[in-house]
Amino acid sequence: MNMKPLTCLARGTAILTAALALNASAGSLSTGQVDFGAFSPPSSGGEFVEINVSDCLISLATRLVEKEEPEIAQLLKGIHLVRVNVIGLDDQNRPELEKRIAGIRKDLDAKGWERLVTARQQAQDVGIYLKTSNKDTVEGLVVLVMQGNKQAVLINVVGNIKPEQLSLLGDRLHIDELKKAGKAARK
Amino acid sequence: MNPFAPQPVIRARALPVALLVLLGFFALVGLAVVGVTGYFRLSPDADALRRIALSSAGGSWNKVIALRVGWFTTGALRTGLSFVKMEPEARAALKVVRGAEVGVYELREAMAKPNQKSILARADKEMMARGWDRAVTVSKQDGLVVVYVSPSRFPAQNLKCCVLVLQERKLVVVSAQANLEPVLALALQHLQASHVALHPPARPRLRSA
Repeated sequence: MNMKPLTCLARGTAILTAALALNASAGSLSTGQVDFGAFSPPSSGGEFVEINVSDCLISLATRLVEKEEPEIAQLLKGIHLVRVNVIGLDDQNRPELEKRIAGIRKDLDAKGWERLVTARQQAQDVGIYLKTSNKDTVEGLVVLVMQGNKQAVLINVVGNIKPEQLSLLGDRLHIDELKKAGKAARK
Repeated sequence: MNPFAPQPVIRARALPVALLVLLGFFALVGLAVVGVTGYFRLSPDADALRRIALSSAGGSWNKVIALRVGWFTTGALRTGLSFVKMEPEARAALKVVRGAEVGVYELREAMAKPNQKSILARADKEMMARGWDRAVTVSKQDGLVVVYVSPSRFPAQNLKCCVLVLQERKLVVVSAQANLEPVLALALQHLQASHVALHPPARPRLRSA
């Protein structure tokens, strides 16, 4: 019996299975990634900012700085995704966003995220969470801020980053919200 | 019937040369028309974004301008200018652009503020189906800016982005494809040069006899 077609078929099946597995794993969230869900601009026309910096853009930024600032390149190399959401609050979306942020906090607690900072000052409510795999490897960082009646800020950085490095990252990727969150984390 | 009689030879009727020349001429004219009009049409992805934004915003819009320079034109420009003596920075900048297009549209009559939520939702659906990711969204009272990027394994070599700006009565769609590799190489060269200038290698001391 000619085994050649069977070998080809087996090889094809193996490649297809591997490709499907790869595709499935790409669709699922990595350990440090948090699905905040989809947001839409407030109906009142308030501020709405959404930034998704994927690893391909981060690697581009890394290449730009790796000769001049190797320590920053090292920091960027450990990062896979940066997501920032700023949603202006109005009477319509405030209750829904408060509920959603409370749900995210509960979910993070349940999934073993370490709560680093919880600060409630005046109308500002800040929560910073860290996901670590071993004691010294950070897999993700989440910053949740409710600024009274003004805006809600949700940040997720996937990769090896410490809260005090947020400002630096914000500076390098030109994301003001990260800089502000970094300053809040330092306080 | 004589079996040894020669069989009739059936030949395909050759097309007359004149007809072939005419067909070639029309094909060339057609290509030229498509090529020239291509400069004034947006690419399918940018056009889809424009279509969605205009239909979601409502009202009637006037096209102010739509221009597109593709890989062929930028390639021809690069080849042509490769024989010209230029500064390395200018040459690197020329090497960067692989294609660019811009479309500007203006709202004809006053109407209610466009629904940014609906524009964003529909644009997302269309662009994501075409393999684009939304990287940046900024929405305020008076405007909307959305940046889509095409994910690439080698972003330095092939960075594609498509931008939608809707402000008051104007809609702008910009799309560009670039190879940032030459610029990165030039930047690194400059960095190395400045590093050497700042930290010159130590000269061996001459010993006096």
